Amino acid sequence: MKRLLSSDPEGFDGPCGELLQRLYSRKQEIKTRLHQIEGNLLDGNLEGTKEHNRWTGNRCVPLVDDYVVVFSVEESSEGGELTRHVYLLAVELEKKRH
Amino acid sequence: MNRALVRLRNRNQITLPAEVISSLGLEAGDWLKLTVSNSNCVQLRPARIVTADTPEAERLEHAAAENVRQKNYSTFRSPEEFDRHLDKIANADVIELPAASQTPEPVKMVSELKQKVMAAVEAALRDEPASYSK
Repeated sequence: MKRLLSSDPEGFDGPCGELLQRLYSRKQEIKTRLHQIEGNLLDGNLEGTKEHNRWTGNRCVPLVDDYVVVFSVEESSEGGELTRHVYLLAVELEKKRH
Repeated sequence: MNRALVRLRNRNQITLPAEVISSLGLEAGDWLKLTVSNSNCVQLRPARIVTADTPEAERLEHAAAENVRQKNYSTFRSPEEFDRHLDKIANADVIELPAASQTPEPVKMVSELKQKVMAAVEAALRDEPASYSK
């Protein structure tokens, strides 16, 4: 299976860069968590993720503290080869629900 | 204040008036999205981490979905490549966005959503409910 990971420049890269700069002392922790998320999603493991937007089908997964990564997964088959493409769409602050 | 003249200095730097900074609640380290229009206007808009389930988050996710459709994204073929990208954005002062951002306007988004809902309702009304089928 072909595995591809992509990120959106505005929704993911900008906010993720901001988070990495603001929480610079926790940079390694955030990167480790992002690699864990990357591995799980590319393996097709959606454990720990939840529906983020039922209109778009986007899902989200906790990053650190109250920050979440919003993503979508697309699976396609071209020329008999299955491709799983994970799109990291956004980093958002999740509202605390009490 | 909604208008000011600012001077471009060495190393392409400008200083934003303090009133603008305070009225927008900006602080050092915040990102600003820069857009150059066809009429040579430069627009700067705060591009900070947004709260989920807000109109701004919805706008960003719509724009991201549009970027997926337009194939305007960065792709990494290995964890090492992704790692280098994270280091780059963690230390960057500039992140290049797709040249022609297809960010839909909120009005257009509402209109598109309304059309989708209406189409779904009409489709549902056309179908006979299962309980009435013979």
